[in-house]
Amino acid sequence: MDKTQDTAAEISLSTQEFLEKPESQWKSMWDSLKKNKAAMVSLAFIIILVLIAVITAIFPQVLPHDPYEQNMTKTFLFPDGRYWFGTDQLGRDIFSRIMVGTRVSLSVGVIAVAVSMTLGVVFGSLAGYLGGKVDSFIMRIMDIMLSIPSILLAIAFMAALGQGIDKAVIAISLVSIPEYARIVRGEILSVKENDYVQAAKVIGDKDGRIIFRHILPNVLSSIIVRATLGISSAILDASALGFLGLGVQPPAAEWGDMLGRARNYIFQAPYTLIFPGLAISLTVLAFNLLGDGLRDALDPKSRQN
Amino acid sequence: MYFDLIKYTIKRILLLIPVLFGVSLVVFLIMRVFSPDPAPVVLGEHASREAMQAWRNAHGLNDPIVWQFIDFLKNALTGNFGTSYYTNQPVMKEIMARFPATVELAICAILFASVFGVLLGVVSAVRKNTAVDYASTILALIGVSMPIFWLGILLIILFSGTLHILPSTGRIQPMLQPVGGTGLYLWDTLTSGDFEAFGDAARHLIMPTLALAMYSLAIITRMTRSSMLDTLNQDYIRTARSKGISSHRVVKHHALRNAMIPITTVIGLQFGSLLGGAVLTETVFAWPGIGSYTVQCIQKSDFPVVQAVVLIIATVYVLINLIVDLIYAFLDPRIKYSKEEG
Amino acid sequence: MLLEIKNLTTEFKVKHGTVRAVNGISFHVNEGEILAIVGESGSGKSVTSLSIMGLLQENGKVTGGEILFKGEDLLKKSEAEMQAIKGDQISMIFQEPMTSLNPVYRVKDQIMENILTHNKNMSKKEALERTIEMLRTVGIPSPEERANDYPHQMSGGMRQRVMIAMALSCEPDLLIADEPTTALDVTIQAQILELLYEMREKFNMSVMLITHDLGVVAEAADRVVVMYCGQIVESAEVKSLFAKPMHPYTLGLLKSIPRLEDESKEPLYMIKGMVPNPLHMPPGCPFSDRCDCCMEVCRKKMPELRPVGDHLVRCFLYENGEAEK
Repeated sequence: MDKTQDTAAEISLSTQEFLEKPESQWKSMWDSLKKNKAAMVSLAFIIILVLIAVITAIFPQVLPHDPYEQNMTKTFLFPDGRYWFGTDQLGRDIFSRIMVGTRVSLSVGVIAVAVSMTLGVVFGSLAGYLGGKVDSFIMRIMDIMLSIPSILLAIAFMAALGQGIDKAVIAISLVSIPEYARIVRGEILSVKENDYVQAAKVIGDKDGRIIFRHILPNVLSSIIVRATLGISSAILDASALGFLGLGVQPPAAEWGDMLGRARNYIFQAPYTLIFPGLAISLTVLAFNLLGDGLRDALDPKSRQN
Repeated sequence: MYFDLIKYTIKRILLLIPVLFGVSLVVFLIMRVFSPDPAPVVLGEHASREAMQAWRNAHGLNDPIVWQFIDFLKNALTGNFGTSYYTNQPVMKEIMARFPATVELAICAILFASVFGVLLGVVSAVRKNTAVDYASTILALIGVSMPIFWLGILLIILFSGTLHILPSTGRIQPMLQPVGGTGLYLWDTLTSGDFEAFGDAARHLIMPTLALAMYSLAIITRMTRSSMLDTLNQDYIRTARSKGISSHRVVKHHALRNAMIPITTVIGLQFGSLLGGAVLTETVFAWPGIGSYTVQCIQKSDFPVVQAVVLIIATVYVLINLIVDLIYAFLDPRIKYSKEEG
Repeated sequence: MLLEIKNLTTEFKVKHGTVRAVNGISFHVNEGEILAIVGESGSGKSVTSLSIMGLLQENGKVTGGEILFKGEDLLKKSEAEMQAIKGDQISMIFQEPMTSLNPVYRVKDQIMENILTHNKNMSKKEALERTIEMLRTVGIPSPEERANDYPHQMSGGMRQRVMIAMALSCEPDLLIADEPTTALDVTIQAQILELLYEMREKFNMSVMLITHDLGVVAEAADRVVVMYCGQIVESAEVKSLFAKPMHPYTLGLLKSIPRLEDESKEPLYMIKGMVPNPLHMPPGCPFSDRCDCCMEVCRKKMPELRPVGDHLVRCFLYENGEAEK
């Protein structure tokens, strides 16, 4: 376990060094990204979403209506000047509910990715660096998890853990770990064989230092990309669980949940379904475009144009 | 020369066993060990302690965990997954009744996604940076960003609600339902010559297939495009062109054959995501398959069913990936004939 | 003259502008002769051959000149007409035998494809026989069995022989060989060149041999054209070029070849400086920065390609048709 502590120390040291990278490298990445209009628009959209999430949390008065206020005399109002997206089956303002749902979706996305990424990097690093039995064991577990389609696995976890948005986050996180573990392990394995690593060994550099000083920068780049794309799949998965009724509890507002509950009214009030779905799609699209843009900016080799 | 392929197959099948064991273990752990006690859900919260205890005993839930697991495995190997907590019918029977519906939907979806995905991907690659290419890129982006269930709902709103040309739920009109047979309605109606029923079954399949396939279609299109672009950059394509072969043949005979090799892996992986997506699609379209059934069972804590379904789907997925790997090895002569050197 | 290139210009569009890889070159290939085109990377020699065959990348285009094959301008031909010519009358072999053959098809299928494409009425059986004959001709042992191999089952030298068999399967009038031996061992190199020689004799074929290796030129070619930065700087019969090199670049190339007999302890000769950036070509002679004999006029004006004795030279040293220095 000495080696693991060593490993952890190396990771944090190299992360520090990576973060203190010369200004110019970050700047050139930013410049490349700036040129990608779609990515920039997406970034702006995401920033707006974050602002919405934060502001509605601190100043709920900003919303045109109380998202939780039911009014049985005002059910299924078609979108108009007062209720921009109309009202749902319990007379609640759909627009306000969607605004509030932003917070749920974004936090689920970010937390799920943060957790699965961290655990994935840890497991992947251990597997790749330590190799042998540890590697086999860890990757066997990852393979097993990958054998079950992710939604099914998430549902199974939810069945065990019970309902609630926090359990949903855990379920989604667990399901995504293998992907990150694989990336990190792959990078470590491939760099281990590289010539410059062999050369450094000949010179006498310590194993851990080389590997993590050289690997981590590369890994962090692809991990940043995967994380951004991971947020979009986490949001999709969360809304799927919400749709199935396995996510938030009423009366909380979550986009997938809104869709699930409004299903019966599909013909009489389609707007109850269109707007929440649009919110999910646009958010996911924004993260996807941003992720793609980051990939192109950080690794021009992957560009296919 | 073919001996290699057989040895490889056997090796892979042997490797399957620990994976399937692991999957059963994980499923068992999740459903029996970590799940909340099903007794209050099945019997109702106000049932007496004794009643609940009796119920648990009857279902073997008080036996030592290791025994439970061994029983579970033993029975699973013979296809016995116990009985549903609710209907008291054998789980296998319940599942088999609904399995064909999901299979039919999944097959239609994978066929649609693969055929059109590859087609679109090839055209996009060959006509890079033209209108077709941009259109398919946008389509792919949208397909990947839209939740399946929302797409399904939109389709219903459009085609059932507004245009009234497609039915919004179910597999077929009850009167036209074929009796017996495989359970795959398209096949059953076709082979019995009932064309009206065939048409109806097909109409019911259109929207669910579209909704389910969209995500995979998007992925397959993108992967095909990038695989084709990679392949078209290879030296042997230049050689082919230097022989005076038509462009058409260069793409179809030389490029596609090579580009397809990694695509088969992608298609196999997509099958897994389809199986997951089926759960959502079936819920939206009230499709009587095991996906929607599983969701209902989870909500009711009918765990034997959920265990069985997850285990079966995982097994199917693992087998499909094995088949895909074998196809991959078969398609690429460098693997198939790797033992021989010039 | 079998092939006559007149003023060929080829350009590439890159991110920062347009690169003129081939800048108005003219040369010819006679029937039955082996012409070598010599130059370093970036000289435009490969692009020349790709321009002839219409195999330029998407961002490349022939922007001027004529390519006259048997009197007809290839640049004016339709795609279908070119496809009839490629593989049948003009064939090409490439530098990388390891990647130039399609990995998923057997060797015989790839050769038969060439034959059947250009001989639509031939039966498969006949084509197969022809294929095996070709494999035998290029020196592949047990051709009947080897024909069934996949490319990865063969060594580099064998693959190159297969390439040659494939290229010659329709007995073309002109074979373009783009660095055919660069990726191979020296011993195999000799064998391949020998093979090309034999083929030339047997089929009375012309060969355009592109290489950066003067040793190859000396061994195999009849005439040679030296290219630098997209232009021809000297052209002569091989013996004459080696006996009396005229252009400073040619001189530099010859001087750079390390000689076993050289007992002096001097460092190996290197042409000083570097090839200029194709996006920022200097005015005047492109070799001016690196030339030991550079004169003022060299930096300002581009010299013309003129006959000097039995050579053609592009250099102000020879402006009056004879050596000035």
